[in-house]
Amino acid sequence: MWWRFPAEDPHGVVTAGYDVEPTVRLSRHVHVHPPRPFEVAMAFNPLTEKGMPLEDQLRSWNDMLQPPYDPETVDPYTQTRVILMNGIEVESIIFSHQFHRHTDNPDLRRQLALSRRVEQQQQKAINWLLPGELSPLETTIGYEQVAVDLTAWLARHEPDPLLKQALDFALLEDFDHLYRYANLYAMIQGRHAEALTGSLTEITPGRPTILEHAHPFDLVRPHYETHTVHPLSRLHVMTIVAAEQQTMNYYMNHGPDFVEPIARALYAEIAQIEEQHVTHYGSLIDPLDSWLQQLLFHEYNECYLYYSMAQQESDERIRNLWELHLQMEIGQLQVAAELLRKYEGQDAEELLPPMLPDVPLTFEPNKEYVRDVLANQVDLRQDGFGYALADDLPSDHRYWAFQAIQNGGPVDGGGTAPSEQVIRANREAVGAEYRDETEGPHPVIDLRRPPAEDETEMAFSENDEMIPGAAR
Amino acid sequence: MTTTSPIFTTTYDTGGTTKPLDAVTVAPERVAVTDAMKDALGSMNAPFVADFLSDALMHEQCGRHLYRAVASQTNNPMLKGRYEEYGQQTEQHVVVLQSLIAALGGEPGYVSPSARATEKLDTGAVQATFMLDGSLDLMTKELLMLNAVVLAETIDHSNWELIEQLSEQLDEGPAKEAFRDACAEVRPQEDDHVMWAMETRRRMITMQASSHMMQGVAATAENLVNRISSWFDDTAT
Repeated sequence: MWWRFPAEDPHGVVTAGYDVEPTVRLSRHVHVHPPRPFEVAMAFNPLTEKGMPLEDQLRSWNDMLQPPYDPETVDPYTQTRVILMNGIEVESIIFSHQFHRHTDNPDLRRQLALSRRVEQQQQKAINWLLPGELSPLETTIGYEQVAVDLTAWLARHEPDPLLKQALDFALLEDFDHLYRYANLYAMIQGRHAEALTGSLTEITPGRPTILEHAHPFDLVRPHYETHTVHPLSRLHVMTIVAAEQQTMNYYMNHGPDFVEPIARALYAEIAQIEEQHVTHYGSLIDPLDSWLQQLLFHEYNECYLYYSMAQQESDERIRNLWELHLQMEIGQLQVAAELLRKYEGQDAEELLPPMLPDVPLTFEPNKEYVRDVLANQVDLRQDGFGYALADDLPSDHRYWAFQAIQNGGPVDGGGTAPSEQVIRANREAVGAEYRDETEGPHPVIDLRRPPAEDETEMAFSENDEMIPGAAR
Repeated sequence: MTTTSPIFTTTYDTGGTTKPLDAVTVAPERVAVTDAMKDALGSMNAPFVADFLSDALMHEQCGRHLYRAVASQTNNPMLKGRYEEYGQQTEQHVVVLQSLIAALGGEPGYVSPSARATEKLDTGAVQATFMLDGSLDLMTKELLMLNAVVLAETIDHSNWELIEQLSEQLDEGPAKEAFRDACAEVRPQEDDHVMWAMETRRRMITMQASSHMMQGVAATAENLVNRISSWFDDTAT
């Protein structure tokens, strides 16, 4: 079966380079066409598109599973797009299962089951693009690059200042995770993480992970209000929840993959922070929306994201996949809209904006933005529904009590937190911790490289293998 | 009285505003001005009245959705016709309330905390009409849909009684006139809606309770649909 991407949108805005050649076939025979420029107008309303009917979306094994990308040549942001969209599909599946368990309507359950089966195939089509050559730790570094550049981009484009604050806050925590994992990578695989990130994302301390552990009561944020929230804000929150949830799940499951105790411990520690992030971001969603409304918003967000991914994808084959999935999501959105109309008497057009927000989500470097947030917010902590500087938290604040339990001792001594151990261990192994600071010294003086390390950097061979103990 | 385009679901794109609370974050430009009616309402508690009118508007909006939902699911042509008729009237009630709020200087897009709670209540009633379909027979589902209408119309009727009573506290002037015009248009229909809903529910229950034909647990769905379709034949509209 062939499908075609629209050459012209319903509002008459010609989308750049949208020729009428078929871009992908539902089989392993992938047809390519010349790359399109990225200046595609965002005047696109999924509700008025034809899309692919849900009943036509099931794929054979051959159609579903495409060869993985080449880890040596892949654009790091192609990898982040794959990781993000896998997380988006996982969320859609988990949400659908939860909805299924909360209704006793056979018609609804069957429709959910069919959509979910397709979403499972979409998830496989995406996640199986990850090459087997990547170790779990290398994939993890990809996950953290997603977390940093996704969160920073969302924060930069977030209209609501309090939602932006929530993004900025957790941005610094994921940024620190990238640094901790990169040091683990240097230590146990003897390689530079910048080979994976392409130096598109800096690797240096954020809010130190050891300080991130907070009492669960302080993780619960105020939520947006569903009748007043900017459409873009809703999409931002849904996207970051899905991404963080996938990261949490990945660490929950892959931590035990390792033999090295320090690796197992670091995954356990950071998985706990990801639990914090899923609570932090999940609490931003207005729980007033009904199950069917939430289903509609899920499908709409997937349309937005596949549309966005297709705009910027540099890999022709994978861009075709994004476009195919966009057509599928339009079909799934139509089913969700029909269910909402039938059972709750509400038209999808009443809930959704007249067209997708004119801001396609983009993976791109956010170095200056991250540095600015670092310089201004590294000392922030969550405090009730708000935030406070660490120095302003009273000594009997539950943050300190939780820190003492979690880190097993006084915080200022570094405790036994694996996130601190991994840096110390790497310093001991090669003489210096690993960083990839492309924009100059760390913006926070206290987090700059220890003076003793200024003249010492890890030595690497030409094939990027670390030479243990060597220094130059 | 000014007129407004009907908004059946308040969103960002329709100009939604609300009141920030500890657990609710609202972008600054979306924070409602809740005392906007103070000039029109004189000595009355203007923020409370704004909240209440927002609540009543939400109930009308949800009522419109309820009627559309049950009209699409009922197997009885008389009920379907009545649901569609009342649904259209309810759409007009939405317009009337939005116009009244605007005439008083308020924001038709304001969603008060009590309106949020009403939405939760009302969508709960709608959801009861379909979320348990697998464990309901068709006759029970029909009754459930009518129950949801009775609940909705009972509150609706009470709301309009109160709106009328509030207007009695006002001095003569444009605000009182706006209230009076709104009530004159809507109240007779609300009387009709609630009376019809309660009477139809009474008839549906007594009819089933007294009919041996309804007892057969082995009745097929087709038979049930035929049976439901013939209900109220004597009063078909």
